[in-house]
Amino acid sequence: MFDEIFNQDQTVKAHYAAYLEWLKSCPAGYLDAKMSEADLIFRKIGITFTLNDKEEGIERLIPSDPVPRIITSSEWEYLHKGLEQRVCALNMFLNDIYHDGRILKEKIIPQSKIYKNAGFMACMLNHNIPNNMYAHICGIDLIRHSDGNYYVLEDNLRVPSGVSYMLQNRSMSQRLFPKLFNKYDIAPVEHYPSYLRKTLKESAFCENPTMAVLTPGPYNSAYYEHAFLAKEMGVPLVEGRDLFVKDNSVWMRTIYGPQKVDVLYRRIDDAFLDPLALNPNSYLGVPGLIQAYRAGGVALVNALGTGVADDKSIYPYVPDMIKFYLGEEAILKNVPTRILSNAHDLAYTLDNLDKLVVKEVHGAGGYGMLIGPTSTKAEREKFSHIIKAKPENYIAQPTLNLSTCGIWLDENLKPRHIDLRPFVLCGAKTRITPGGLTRVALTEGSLVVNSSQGGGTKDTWILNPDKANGDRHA
Amino acid sequence: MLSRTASNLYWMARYFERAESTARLLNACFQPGIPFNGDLDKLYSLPLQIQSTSTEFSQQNQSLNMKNVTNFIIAGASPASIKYCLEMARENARSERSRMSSQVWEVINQTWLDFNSWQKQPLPLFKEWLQQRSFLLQGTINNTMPANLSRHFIRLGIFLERADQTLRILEAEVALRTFSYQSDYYHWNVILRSVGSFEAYQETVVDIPSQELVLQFLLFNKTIPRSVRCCIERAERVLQLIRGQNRRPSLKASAQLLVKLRFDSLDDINKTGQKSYIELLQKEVFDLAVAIEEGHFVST
Repeated sequence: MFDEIFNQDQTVKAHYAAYLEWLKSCPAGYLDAKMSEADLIFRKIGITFTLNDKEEGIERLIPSDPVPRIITSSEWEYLHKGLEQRVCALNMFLNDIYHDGRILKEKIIPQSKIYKNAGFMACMLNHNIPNNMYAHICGIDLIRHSDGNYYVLEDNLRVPSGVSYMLQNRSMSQRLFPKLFNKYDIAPVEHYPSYLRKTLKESAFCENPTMAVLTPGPYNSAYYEHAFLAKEMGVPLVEGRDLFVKDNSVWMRTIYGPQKVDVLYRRIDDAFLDPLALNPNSYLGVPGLIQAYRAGGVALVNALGTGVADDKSIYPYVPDMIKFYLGEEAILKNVPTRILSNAHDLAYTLDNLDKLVVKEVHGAGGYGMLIGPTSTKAEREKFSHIIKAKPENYIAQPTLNLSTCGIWLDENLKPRHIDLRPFVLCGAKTRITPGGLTRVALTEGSLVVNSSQGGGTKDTWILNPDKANGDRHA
Repeated sequence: MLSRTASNLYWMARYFERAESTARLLNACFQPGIPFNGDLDKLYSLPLQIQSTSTEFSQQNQSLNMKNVTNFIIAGASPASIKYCLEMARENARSERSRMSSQVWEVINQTWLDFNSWQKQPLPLFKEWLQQRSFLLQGTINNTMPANLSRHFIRLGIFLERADQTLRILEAEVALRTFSYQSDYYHWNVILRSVGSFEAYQETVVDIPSQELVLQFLLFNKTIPRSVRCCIERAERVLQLIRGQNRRPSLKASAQLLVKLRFDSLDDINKTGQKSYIELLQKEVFDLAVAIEEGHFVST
């Protein structure tokens, strides 16, 4: 088991030394009191998340643990390079399959995996968009395995969320523990909204674009984030019903009459964007939006059709993409993945269900998966029937021993599994805010970090290169 | 600014103001110590009458007494209850939280969060608390928000709601007079306190309250924050700041209202009688609200 704070011999890692010293100096009950304070503040600000699997959406706080997840600057440099490379290749891949499809002609990826993919949008074929950039905002989920290395768990290229928690966690830490920010030289993250704004601006079809955030509305689970980002960027927050399409342009209904909008940062899934072109049952979108998009009258961030690249069935091919488009070896490693549409992989998986994690190709939020080692025989039986019925819907990976990082519980540090979601922005250039969102599985031994299933978050600190931080690659 | 945003901000302000006004009204009607030797049923149903929720209350099949009416008005199943108003204010605020300062959002959100515990308090304490929250909200708006469209539409909502509330109370006053209070003094005491203007009256008019003095005070006085004239004058000033062609109908409506509010006198009221005069003003305030709605919130 790899722990972020402690070495195998229980000594403290260099970059956490100052933190633990500070922790020891805190009086009993201090941290708990601070956590209650944070709770009250989060509730007052209304940073909530609505769960939608129950009958009525209930607003909840996402638990935020006070112990930071600290990453050395040299480690982050490595991650930064790897993320840049990976996202670059993914965008080149998207540009390719929506134009010439060279990677398919070279038979590196089977055609059926693309053209039959639910995320593939035929209306994007031969549509040229600014910078040839499709996934402008990417959330690349990373984990650290017991061998001490980082692996990419999955790519999120559609509507990745969580950045507002990253920003609020940082501002909360600064508010509650100002002394700590004197001890450590931490790379700031507050500039994310300005990076995002730049990214939106660079993604327009025109100069000096009017930008807006398109939200499904206040009943969406991530509404707080939509409102937060709109406000930080100083752009309007609109819903589908505030917009209409005319003359291949998109217009906002304002008190002074229609106002043209040029870039939409849309937090609505592809299928719901336009009832005329896509899902006709959607009330969230704007009729005619896709037509305006194709005519270059409005830019969408992220572009339509990025789902084909963050699909779990395409995930195993990402290192091949990096090789094909960039001529490089992947800096960030994939988790070894078995594609169950492959007969050999399917057979192996069914024989070794108790050792593997099987995931639905189109699942999200930690649902629709089987964690072999913690499952019962009955659960495995049931799941094997499900897999056999539609093997092309599943992939299997070895169980990862996600690294642990202590959370503050009962006056002590108790190790819990974590992951990391850095946010990569791609406009005319790639911009990555140092760190990202660290999610933690609050239940002991649990590997599921998603907020919708009892996960929490931590502040993520990337240390600036500085001797005082004890900067050493662990 | 989106039409929907303008509408949400305006209504957020109206609902919050309505909540406070309702608490004030309730507290004024049921003040302990006010001598009352009239028909108690009429007293208990007075706030319901002012709110126009008498029918909803009778549907609750509860006996008409102070406790039941109080609970109904504070948290009953009615779109005029204080609880509902605060919920609606908060929902509207939540929809538009990116258009107001974070402090303004927090005041509204915290009020809603604290409501459940405060509603159990005795009525005077509850009213104090809500009144403080309302003052806090207005102070926060005026101190943290730039004088932009968001602030304009919020203030527009506050002024329109105030004018409406003052007129409602004056309308009910006619009916109230049929109950017998100990004296005129206590009758007008209740009226003035309902509108939160008792001390203002004492300082401005000084004379013992009478029908003539209080009517003129609450309708025509240009310095009292809750007089109808003051509210409409402030609303007109905000409409001027909003700019745009769409405000012409609302400017016209407010101008017509202000002719009466600035130049009418007791004689004009007596010509048609208090009841008809108030009703006419109410209609004109309503027309003004419709003109605002059609000019800014309804989109083509």
